[in-house]
Amino acid sequence: MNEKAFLEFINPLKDRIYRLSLRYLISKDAAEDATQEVILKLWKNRKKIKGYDSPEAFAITITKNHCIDQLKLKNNNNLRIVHSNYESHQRPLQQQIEAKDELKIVSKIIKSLSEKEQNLIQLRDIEQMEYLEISQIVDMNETAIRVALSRARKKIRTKMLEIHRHGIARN
Amino acid sequence: MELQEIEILLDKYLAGETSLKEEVRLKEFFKNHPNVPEHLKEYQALFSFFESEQEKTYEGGLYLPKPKPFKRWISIGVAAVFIGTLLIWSPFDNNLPESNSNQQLKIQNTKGLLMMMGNTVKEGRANLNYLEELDTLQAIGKTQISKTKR
Repeated sequence: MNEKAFLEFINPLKDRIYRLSLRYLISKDAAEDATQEVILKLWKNRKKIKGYDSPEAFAITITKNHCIDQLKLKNNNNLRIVHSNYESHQRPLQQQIEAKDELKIVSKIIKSLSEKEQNLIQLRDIEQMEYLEISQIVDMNETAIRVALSRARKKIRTKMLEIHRHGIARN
Repeated sequence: MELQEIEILLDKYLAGETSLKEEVRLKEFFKNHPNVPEHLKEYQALFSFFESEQEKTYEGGLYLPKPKPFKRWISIGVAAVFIGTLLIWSPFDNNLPESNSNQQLKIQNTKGLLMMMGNTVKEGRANLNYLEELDTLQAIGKTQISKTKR
């Protein structure tokens, strides 16, 4: 695969690689570095790429594994996927609910999910990938993915309902 | 009524049973209808969130090591020196008895050639690194850098 063909392959993927790295590594700088490194890895393995049914799934898998390695290496608080419980705010949430804050609330709720669940939300709800591709990346079968996604989505909904109805979130 | 369809889809969505098309339909609906009934407001926020996440893009540069024709010549050079060494040690010379000084000369030559080979490879490698830096600098020149380091 020559440079031109590789760039054609990578260009539509780089944002996806970046977003997934961002989900794992939180920091923009770390995600940008990871994206660079993944692209280089893919370049070095460019001969392999053609052999895969889904070169895209291959690229995303490399990204996922790279990010997991980074987390193991750095073992830094900033870079861990934080399984945090949503904390209550000082003032009643009704006063806060503007569009922007609402997005922050959703973001926090999603970050309180498990790594597996966050991954699935990222790949399905944000990246809009088909189950077949996702199953290659996360090494789960389609049924397992659907079940996990369902659980995650219900959790999100429950937590959001709590916030809207009670004003201050409970754990 | 559309709302009814949407509510059916939302149930499927929570059960993990929607297709991508149906999920896109849900997203479009919430995007185009900012004023949804109270009981659907959470979904509004959720799908807006997905939309905002989708809009994040990679702002860094794309650095690729360029193909190095130079590398080829290094390997050919090494191969040539290697073959040359073998020729010197060629068994076909064995008809004449070797004088000691001739053998010494051969050994010296081979050593010399092997050292040259080592140096060529070293130089070659140093040149490669330089080229990589050069390429990186060129790439930086060509692509936009919007990355700011803190």
